[in-house]
Amino acid sequence: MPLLTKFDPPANISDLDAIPNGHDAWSESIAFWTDDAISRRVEPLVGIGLSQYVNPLKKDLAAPSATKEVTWLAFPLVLVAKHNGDRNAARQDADRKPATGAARLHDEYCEWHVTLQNNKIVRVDFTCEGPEYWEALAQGYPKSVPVNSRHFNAVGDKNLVLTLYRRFVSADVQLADLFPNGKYDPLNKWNSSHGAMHLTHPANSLQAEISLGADATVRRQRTGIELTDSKQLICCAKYGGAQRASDPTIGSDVNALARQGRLITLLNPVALYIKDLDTQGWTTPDGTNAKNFWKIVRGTPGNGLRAVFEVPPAKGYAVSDIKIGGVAIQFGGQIAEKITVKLTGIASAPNIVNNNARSCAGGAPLPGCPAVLSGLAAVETHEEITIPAPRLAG
Amino acid sequence: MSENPTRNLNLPEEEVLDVEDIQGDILPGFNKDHLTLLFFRIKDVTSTRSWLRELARHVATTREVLDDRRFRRAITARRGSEPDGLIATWINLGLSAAALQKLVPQEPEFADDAFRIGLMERSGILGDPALGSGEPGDPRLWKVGGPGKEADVAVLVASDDPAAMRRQVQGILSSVTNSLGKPVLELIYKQECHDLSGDLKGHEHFGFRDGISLPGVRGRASRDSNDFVTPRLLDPASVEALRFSKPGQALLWPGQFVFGYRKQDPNDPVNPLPDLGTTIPREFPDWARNGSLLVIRRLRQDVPAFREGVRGITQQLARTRLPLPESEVAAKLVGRWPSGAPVIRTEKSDLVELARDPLANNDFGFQGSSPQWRLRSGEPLPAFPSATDDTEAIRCPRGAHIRKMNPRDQGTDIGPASVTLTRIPMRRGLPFGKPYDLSLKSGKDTLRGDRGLMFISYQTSIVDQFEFILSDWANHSDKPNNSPEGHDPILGRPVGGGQAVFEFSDGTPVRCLLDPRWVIPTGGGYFFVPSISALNTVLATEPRN
Repeated sequence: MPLLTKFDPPANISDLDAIPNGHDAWSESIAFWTDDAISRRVEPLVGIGLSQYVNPLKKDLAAPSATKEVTWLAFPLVLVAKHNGDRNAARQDADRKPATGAARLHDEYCEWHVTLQNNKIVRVDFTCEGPEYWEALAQGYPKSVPVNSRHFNAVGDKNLVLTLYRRFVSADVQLADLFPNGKYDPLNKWNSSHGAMHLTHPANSLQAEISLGADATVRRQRTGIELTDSKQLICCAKYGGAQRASDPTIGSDVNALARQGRLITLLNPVALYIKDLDTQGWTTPDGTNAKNFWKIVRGTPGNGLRAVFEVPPAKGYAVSDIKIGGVAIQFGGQIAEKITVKLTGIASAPNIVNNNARSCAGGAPLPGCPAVLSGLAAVETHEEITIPAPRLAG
Repeated sequence: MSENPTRNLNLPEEEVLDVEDIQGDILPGFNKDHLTLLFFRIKDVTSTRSWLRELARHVATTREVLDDRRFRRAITARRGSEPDGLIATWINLGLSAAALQKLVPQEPEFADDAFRIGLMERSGILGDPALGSGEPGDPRLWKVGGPGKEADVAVLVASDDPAAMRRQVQGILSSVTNSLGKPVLELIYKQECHDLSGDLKGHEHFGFRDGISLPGVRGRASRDSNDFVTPRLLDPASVEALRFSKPGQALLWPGQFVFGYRKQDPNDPVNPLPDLGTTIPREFPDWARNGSLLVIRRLRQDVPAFREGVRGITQQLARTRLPLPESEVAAKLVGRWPSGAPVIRTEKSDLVELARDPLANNDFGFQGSSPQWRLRSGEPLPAFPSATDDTEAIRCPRGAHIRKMNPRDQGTDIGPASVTLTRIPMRRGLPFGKPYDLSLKSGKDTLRGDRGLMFISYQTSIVDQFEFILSDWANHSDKPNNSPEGHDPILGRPVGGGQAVFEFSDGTPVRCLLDPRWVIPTGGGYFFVPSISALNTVLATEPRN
């Protein structure tokens, strides 16, 4: 595979083309996060130059390469757990609009905003665009890229941001709403209480996604036995939210590639995408295929950045009049439950690097990591217990 | 080893189950070779109440079924073979949501959407052909459960002996008419099911051994600290005994299958979720404690279509760089060889001894997690080839039926392996109809294809445990885990009616196309299986005005 020359914007979307140096600045940002993850997080564990997570601008992934698409459902698993399995309570919680300036509760890299009319849902907007992209659109570089890592004169385009917000969220958006004191506010009212343009949850960022991918390439062992189980891995390595649907599976799928000795990176363009909506078993009052009401409005089908589920007013019925398996849609979360979000990794041929497995990260167990999987005392008698091994190929 | 093994390892305390009150097919399961299902519509609500109370006296409890199971196990252990001539005949019953509306209209509903709405209206989510489409599987064509044929009551009669079973069935059929000759209940449909015989004993109609992988259930039959409902074969001082009852058999909290008990925590394979208490909305009305939700799906299996389908895929592969023998293709579609040996432990050929060994045939993960078990008996584990770390899905394709239905140690689209444990139903089904080849001995298929599996499962959430696995994992090629991908060739119906795919791999996926309509739904229903006490009280009593 030849070296990549530039990182591209999510879904190859064209916004940055109109902004001088916009694309270059974006590419530099992705490269910064990538190199930062490698040097600060991975190399201290595996050794300089031995990271299996690589920057494809600098390191060639030897052919043949493997692609690994990781998928998960958009409805936050932590909310179902928070409500002890009471799904409707979780859905109600999830649909609640945050206060102005506050983040949403959706932590599976897909957030949504419900529009009601006469107590019925008429529209739901879904986004999986990272905040960093919008910071770049607004002022040239994302906040988390340090100034001394910025080599392009990119200043963004406030008017473009305003235009996009007006197109996708509301015609009432004002510049001052988005740029109080001249600086972009990612938790402005049109992205919190009054709409959803991009992700707000603190865990939902592109940088976090890259860090997770990098961290997960570090092989792990406990008492000399290499870990392969998806839950054991995240509890040992602490590379993300152990109670989420997304992180544990991303982590264990990337780690599997690492165990095969591959070089790994995230597929360019690096982003999280809305892959699809499952409308099997959905019924509409007039028999229209419910999938017709699902539109990818930013990005492309299969690589959606923003989607809208809306019934045109001319139909005479609302989203809430549609049933999923006989249950009327009362919550946007019911739609989120059927949305698949994805992330794609790409890897070199196997057996390029053979790193030793590292021991588990220290400190208190992650939330959602029981003692028995965190390697902590499961034994009162302090007897030497061998944590049983995965049988290696034989 | 301590006398009280739970002290060694912080083994969580397992509650005592109400074994005299729970119906016995839920736990431990009838496990008989012969089963008749009777589906009724209620004609006279008041008389049905007394009928239920009368039948309750004959309903088999967990206590009875468990005692019978243990009795037989003890004899087998001593004599070295199963006892001959012992006959037990069991009866259990379930009621639909519509029936409960008639019998207990004053009571709050269950939280489970699927149970409330019923199988027919939910069948679209499962991928069944649409009502009125005329396609095989259309609920209009169902023997029971389709429009005008929805059952209020399902009665299950199981026995070691078909004649004894038929006598009981006859007795029940006589009981549904009152002394004036008026129907209390009307029979909609009757289905006999029998374990296949000879080489197909324990197998389903496509020829594969069925029912190997059933979860263990935590819980005790009495206050005796060692009186576990699911036998524990592992050394209690081993850390794996926290999570498993025998190699590969995960232990699940009983609230997954019976209302009123603690449930599995999606984050913790060992400790349960805290008891919900009364401050949080319950998933079931109080009187439904000790009950369960029952899924019945009559699945016709088109054996010649299956064989032709396997042949077609074999031919597709022959034109690629990955030609495989037909037997291996079939085994990889299922994930096990016909004997039941998992392909992940024996990729290129069947291994009957492995399949026959209950300590080996379910002992594997897909990502290499296969602990070194220590048995309570101290015996070494059987020495069969191990499972490998098969994240590339070379040995066992991602679309393989068993890999789809239970992803084990893999991460899925709903999280890590610990979450999967909350989605597993308890399966109890049995085949119906004579095998295809036997039928042909007379020259033609006298059953005209009407043979298959009566799928039966118990769970406390039909939505999360039965429906989800089909509608999400089976029916999407990229679920529960992707790259390579594949729809479930046995049960999958691609969402949106698209093309079904199945990828084999040698490190790089090789895609085949298939038309997996080898299994056709032909009936069923969703039911609630009440406790004995509920049958005697709430359900038997006229509601107060």
